[in-house]
Amino acid sequence: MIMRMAGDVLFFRSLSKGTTFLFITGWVFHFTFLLMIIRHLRYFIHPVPELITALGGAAMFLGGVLLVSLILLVIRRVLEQRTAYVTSFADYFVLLLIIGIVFTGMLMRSEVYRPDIIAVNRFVLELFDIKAPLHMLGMHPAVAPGNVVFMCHLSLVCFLLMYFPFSKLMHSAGYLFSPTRNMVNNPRDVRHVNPWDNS
Amino acid sequence: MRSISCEGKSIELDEDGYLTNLNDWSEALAKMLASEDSLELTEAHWEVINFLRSYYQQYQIAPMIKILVKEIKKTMGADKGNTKYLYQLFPDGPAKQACRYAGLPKPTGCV
Amino acid sequence: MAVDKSTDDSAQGDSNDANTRVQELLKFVKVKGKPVELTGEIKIPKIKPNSFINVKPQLLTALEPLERLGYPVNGLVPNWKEVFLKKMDEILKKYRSVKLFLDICVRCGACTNKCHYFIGTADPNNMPVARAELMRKVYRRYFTWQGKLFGSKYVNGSDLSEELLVMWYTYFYQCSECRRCSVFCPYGIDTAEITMAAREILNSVGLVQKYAHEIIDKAQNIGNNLGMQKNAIINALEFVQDELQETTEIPDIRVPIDEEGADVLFVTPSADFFASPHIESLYGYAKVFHQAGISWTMSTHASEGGNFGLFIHNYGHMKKINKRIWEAARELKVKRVIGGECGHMWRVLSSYSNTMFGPFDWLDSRYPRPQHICEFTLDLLKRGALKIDKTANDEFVVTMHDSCQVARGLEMGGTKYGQFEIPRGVIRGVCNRYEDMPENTIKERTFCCGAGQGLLGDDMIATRVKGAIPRMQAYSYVKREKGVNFLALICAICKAQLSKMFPTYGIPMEEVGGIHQLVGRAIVLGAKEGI
Repeated sequence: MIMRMAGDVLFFRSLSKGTTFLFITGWVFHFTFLLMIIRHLRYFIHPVPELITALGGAAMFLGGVLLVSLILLVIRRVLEQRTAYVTSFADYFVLLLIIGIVFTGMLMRSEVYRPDIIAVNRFVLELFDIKAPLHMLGMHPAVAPGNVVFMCHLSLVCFLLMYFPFSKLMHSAGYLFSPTRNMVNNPRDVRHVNPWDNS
Repeated sequence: MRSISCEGKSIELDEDGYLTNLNDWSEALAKMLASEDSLELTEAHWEVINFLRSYYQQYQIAPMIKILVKEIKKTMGADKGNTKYLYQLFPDGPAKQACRYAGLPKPTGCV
Repeated sequence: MAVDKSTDDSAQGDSNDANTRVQELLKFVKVKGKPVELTGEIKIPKIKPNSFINVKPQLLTALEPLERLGYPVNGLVPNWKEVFLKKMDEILKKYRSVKLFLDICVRCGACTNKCHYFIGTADPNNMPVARAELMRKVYRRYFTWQGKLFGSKYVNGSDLSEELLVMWYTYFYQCSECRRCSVFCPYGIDTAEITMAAREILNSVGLVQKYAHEIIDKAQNIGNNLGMQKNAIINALEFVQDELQETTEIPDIRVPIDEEGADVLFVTPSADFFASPHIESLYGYAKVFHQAGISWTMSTHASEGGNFGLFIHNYGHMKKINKRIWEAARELKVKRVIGGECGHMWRVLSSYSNTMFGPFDWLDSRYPRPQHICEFTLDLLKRGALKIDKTANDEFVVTMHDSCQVARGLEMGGTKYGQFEIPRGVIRGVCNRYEDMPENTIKERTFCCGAGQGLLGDDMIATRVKGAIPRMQAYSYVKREKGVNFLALICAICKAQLSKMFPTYGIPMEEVGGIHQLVGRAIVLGAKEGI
């Protein structure tokens, strides 16, 4: 059971059985997205672990792959007739939101829009400081680095985090409760009692 | 639901063409139902229909196909005692088509 | 009081209109299913919206069965919206799985080309995700706070309407609950559960499908799907016994009925002692039991293995039907219970019986409780307890159709994938020539025969013909490439459906049969070699 679920979570085992294109792009998207989140930990953890520093070199490349996979996912939603039929506005919305985040993120890597990394770092640490709410109340909020691209990036991320619990993105947590995947196949050996059957 | 009139009586059939009231059956009705499928009832057909009816009276269900085959074999000769022959007589399947002409209810279940 | 009455009346008036409208929309029209050409290839069609919107099964209108089942008798109930939402709420609370499956879909599209009804009909509402969306729309509107707050428009939901009911009735009866889509879904969303829930909700407001519910009624009150009375069962089984004794020339081969103290209670679908080719397997079972020297009995009380109660989320129906088996087992004081060739019977027997009527500590613990006939036969074959002459089946090149409820149900024999390997093991044990169909049409990815879970009625012939397409294509492929000429089955519905579909597609009906039909042919009776 553990193996089955790990296979599904880490390698999208079920998806790989039938839908190759979606499996590859979907997996690349989720994987690079995860790496990106790990990479961003450097703003929160001190000292920065070596693994994260090592990721730094490939960051631009990973960002590119992430963006391409996202665009492919959008194109697939539009072009594949069957999927297009079931797609609703919310589905595009989430994809475009993440594209926006990745795009602004990559933009910041270029010289023109590069914010002051040290300022960013200080800002983030201040926000996560346990006393942050007090600072806010005292009308002394953390000073954000004055960079438009960075502000866009951050706002979009905040919006994503707010939207997350009410959207289909909850599939990530929902999977863990899926009975067709998380149950052991043993009803003949082990008696499972039905909690609401009292007759 | 529809009804057809037979010998001056209006007789009710269900959506699939089976009798709603099994007592409505008559030989004329069987002929009429068969002619709707452009089938003419021969002596062989009647042999099957009569057996179905007498079996039904005893057991409240149509006989299983093997019992029917065996009966036909007994009355009509070994060369006719097989499923294929029954399908020649009733192309939609003896269980359903013959039951319908004989005024038996439609068999249910995984059949 | 007077006020109450007048509001009641006006509600009645409205709903009568609703009922008339729904009845008009659901009026049964006979649609013929046109078979396609068999090329051996399974093609995914381009979508054709509403291409199968006219195909609806008949409604059950007979009063007595409806009363016995506890459903409304006069069609759509006056306050149907209220009843509908109450029932849906109850199901969402009872079956958390349904709620979860409604929540976690991301509409990724992986399931869209996996359903045999979509492949056959090209109707986009037969894509599993679209089918489930029919319920999700209601769920989002009435069961999420966003929907309650903002209304259907902003949550991509829909308000309850008669038209929606008709859509539900149409498309939730074009799903055979085979769970193929679930295999490919990254979250394991089980559309079957959603279909079962939808059907029970439809039942509660008074839209009850005829075929399945007529059978549930008969199985509960008479004891089997056919509605066979005790004397008819005895007559049929005695006939089988006479035939066996005549053809094998062994005077003591028997089909025991209601014998107290037998070791094994054997339950099988009632079709096995009524229809063809099902009956051939019954001969096979009897020969295996005889040759193994194991005392067994069938029961007139538990004369049905099949359990149509599984097809709708009404636990009571399923439990009541299953109860007969365990009553009979206790009454006849048997030590083992074995199930014959039937798909959903096996799923209920293996996966739900223990929960509903267990624990089974009063049965012999050396064997699985309950056991599948293929597990039983393979065990005997492996121990050399049966003498087999494989050449008796040399005229056949055999392939096997994995029945959906077995393949995607409980694993057999306590080994992973036993439900695929054990039936194949039995076939290989009695036949020399065996070929599998293409990998994406068998085992866990097997296609439904096209008539499972309550769609086997004659009124559903159009869906049946279309739903059978993938299986027919796969079979015609191995027939052409490998010379296959026999399709072995372990389910009564599959047997009934395919023995009708084969001739429809121009293949002789004799190429369909049960696994124990093959066993019965190959077994050498009398030549006993010790266990």
